Amino acid sequence: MNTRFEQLVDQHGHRLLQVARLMLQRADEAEDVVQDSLIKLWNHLPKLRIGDELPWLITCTRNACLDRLRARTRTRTLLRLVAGQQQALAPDAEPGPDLRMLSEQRSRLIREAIAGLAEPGRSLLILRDIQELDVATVARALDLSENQVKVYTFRARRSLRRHLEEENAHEQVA
Amino acid sequence: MNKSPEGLGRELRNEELIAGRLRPDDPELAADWALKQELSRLDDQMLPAALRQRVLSAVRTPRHGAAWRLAAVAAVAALIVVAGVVRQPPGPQPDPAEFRLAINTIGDTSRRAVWLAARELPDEVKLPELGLDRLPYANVIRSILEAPGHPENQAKENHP
Repeated sequence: MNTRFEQLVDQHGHRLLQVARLMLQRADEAEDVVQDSLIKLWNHLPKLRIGDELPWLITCTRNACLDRLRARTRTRTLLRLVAGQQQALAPDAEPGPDLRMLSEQRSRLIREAIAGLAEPGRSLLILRDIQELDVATVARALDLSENQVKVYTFRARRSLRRHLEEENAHEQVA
Repeated sequence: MNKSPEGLGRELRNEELIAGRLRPDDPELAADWALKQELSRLDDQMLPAALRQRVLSAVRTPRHGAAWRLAAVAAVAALIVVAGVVRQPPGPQPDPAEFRLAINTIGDTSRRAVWLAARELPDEVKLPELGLDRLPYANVIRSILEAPGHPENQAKENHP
């Protein structure tokens, strides 16, 4: 049991962390979410069939991220009401300590654009394109049909590309 | 976005083209394909060692106390089972159906406790050293202790 759990932590932990970071854009919150998800896995492991762990973990992590994003939205709305401010608050994006190169700037731009996508497109791009998980696993994790996974991924990627092209055009004009 | 059946079918086919290894000829699809390739190269993050350690500590530390309590429950449950078996009058052949009935009477919780004890104490509970093979219905007992998950719970609660 301990061995199986440790194997799952080593096998999928980094994947979950990437999902959480891309969704939340905050390293500290992402680590909290992953820690909670893995501890939940320990408690549910007796009930999980072998092979079901990854979709279960993705669902758990994604739901926790969505809960936190909803809470952020509520908090921001409340802060705006209290402060009487109409403008949106600054995003929580963590600048990251190692933004050194242009390619990293591009990566950051992509991450921010992905974080701004609506669900389930955001999760689909993270799981299908970035993590290259197979369609069946993603379909189980997100409770979608395999065709829905393909079509929604196509639309999300197209939307992301349009957004990035617009950003690029704005930069060139500026 | 076109949501007609034809449009959905086209999007599905496009996605399958983009998922392929070769760059599609259509410029729009080629741009999508290139973005997909770029996304797959986004740097991956390792699980920080400190986070890994926190997780493993969290699941281990409180569990040892609980494990010993479970072991005590399991021991009681096992005693009930063994006592029932030993008290049976010697017969020509033990009846597995009767034993299964006895197992069922100790209740789902106790059976789960036996299994959990075996899970939590893999180092302390060495099945070969328990002498199961000397007992009647050893296979039935072993199947409970070595089950990959509690059989009645496997089908349900597989979702977070």
